[in-house]
Amino acid sequence: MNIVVCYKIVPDEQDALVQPDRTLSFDRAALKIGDYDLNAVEAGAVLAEQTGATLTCLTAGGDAVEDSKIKKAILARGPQANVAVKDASLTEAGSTKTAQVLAAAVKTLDDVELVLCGEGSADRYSQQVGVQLGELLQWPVINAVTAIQLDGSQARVERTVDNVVETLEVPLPAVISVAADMNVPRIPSMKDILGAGKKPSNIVDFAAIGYTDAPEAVEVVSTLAPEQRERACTILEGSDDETVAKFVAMIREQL
Amino acid sequence: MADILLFADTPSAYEELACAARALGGNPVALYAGPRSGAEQITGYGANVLYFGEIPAGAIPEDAAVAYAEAIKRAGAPLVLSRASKRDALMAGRIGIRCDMPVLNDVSAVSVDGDTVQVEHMVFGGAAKRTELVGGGAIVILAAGTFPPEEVTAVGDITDQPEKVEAGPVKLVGTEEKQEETVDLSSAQYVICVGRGIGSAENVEKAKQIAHKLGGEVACTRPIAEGEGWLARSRYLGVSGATVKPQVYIGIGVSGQVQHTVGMDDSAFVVSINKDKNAPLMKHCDVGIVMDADTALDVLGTL
Repeated sequence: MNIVVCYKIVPDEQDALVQPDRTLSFDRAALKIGDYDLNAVEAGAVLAEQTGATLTCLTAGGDAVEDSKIKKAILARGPQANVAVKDASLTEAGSTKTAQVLAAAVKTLDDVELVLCGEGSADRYSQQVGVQLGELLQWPVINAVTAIQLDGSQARVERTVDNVVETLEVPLPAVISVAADMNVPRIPSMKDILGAGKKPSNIVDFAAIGYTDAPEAVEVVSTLAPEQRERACTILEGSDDETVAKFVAMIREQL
Repeated sequence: MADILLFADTPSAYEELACAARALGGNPVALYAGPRSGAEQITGYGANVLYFGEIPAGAIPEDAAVAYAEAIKRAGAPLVLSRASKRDALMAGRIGIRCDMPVLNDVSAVSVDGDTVQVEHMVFGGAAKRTELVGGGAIVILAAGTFPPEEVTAVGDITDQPEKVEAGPVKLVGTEEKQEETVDLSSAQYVICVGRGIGSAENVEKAKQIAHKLGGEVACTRPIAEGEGWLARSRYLGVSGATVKPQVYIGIGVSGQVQHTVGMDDSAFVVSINKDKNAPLMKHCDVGIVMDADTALDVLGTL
């Protein structure tokens, strides 16, 4: 049995610089694995340990998929092998195209019984790729999952929607998107990171997975930093009586 | 007037969607499966209801996606509106693939010009707002509060549909109400928000008491709810959490990452209390003070 966990490599938004025209520059941004994807990787690693399944991580992206630091970072978290679909158009691909590419890639892998995705990508957070991937594969698909138990030919999952926890039986193969509060992702040890360098990573193109590129339905017009509200930014320092009194008075005025 | 199709997981959610459809110059048509009383409720929002009958035992509400997709195809895959929730995100993705329509999630503004739909939504954890265009049909999932509810006088009618909801492969074997509180912070006038710098569960309790004394609510950053579990998840603010727009927001030990600040940017007056003078929130506040959480709670206790 093979478990596949999907992840996205994104620029760290904390390194984004807002330009005078309000566009964002990621020129100096470090790459990272999507925050929510780490929960899926953790869930996959735990299930693989419990069941003896192999765990393969799968991504789709541009040049970033060849970043050796990211490759080590993901493989240090449990997967035995990495598969990356590389195409320049994937960096900015929308949910449906990403799901189509991942679906094509999953079909090239053997014996896949479970595909795990995070809650949403760290850049777009449209929470659609996992759902659409399941529908494209015509496999059962469920989101917002907070616990998974593999039990023979099915997964028994807990799903939290608003204030209700559902218990569901999901026949395998299936696609499951996990909620961000499902687990706390492990922090890899130095040994894990060193070991990760020796694990196989396979970079493939569209042709290798039998995907035919097509134009996307959604056109991006602009991506701009929100206009900041003007705020006074009066910063006080010191906990002497006078400073504290001034601070309290400033709040009282607003109450 | 063109039909705009709507779907949601509870009858009450159709009110906002029907208002949105009218505001966009369309005629609201609700896709609905569930008790017939729900369909009647939706007609009261001025929408015509395409009714798919009850959801059978063992099925999940999202199994209605298959039937809805057929009706959407029949209608020529026009503009479809839903609202931001886990269930609707699942339905939207399944319908989107079945009908070959793009899904635009968490949309905070939408306009229609002929066949073209323009939407805005957050990207990069709130660091930017993206504007997108779609020609032809699309499923637009609206963030809560995008269209204000309005008085309705018209009453819609109910048309029974040929498709019925059938249980899908995912079997519902049990549901349990979570014991955790759910709170709606969106109308709170005063919000005291605690971040990692709050230090302890005892301090969170103190912050809560101060908030209550002021007639407000306590809120938090995501790690306080999900990592520490010191407050309910419904109390964390930010891109995947709640949004507040109080008269006064007081952040204690809140660094002010953009993922958090998108949930509080509309506050009228922002107070930042932090040991770290260089915390990002210190640059986005009306007044800030460099102070540890223990001292801050004593000071705020005097309000």
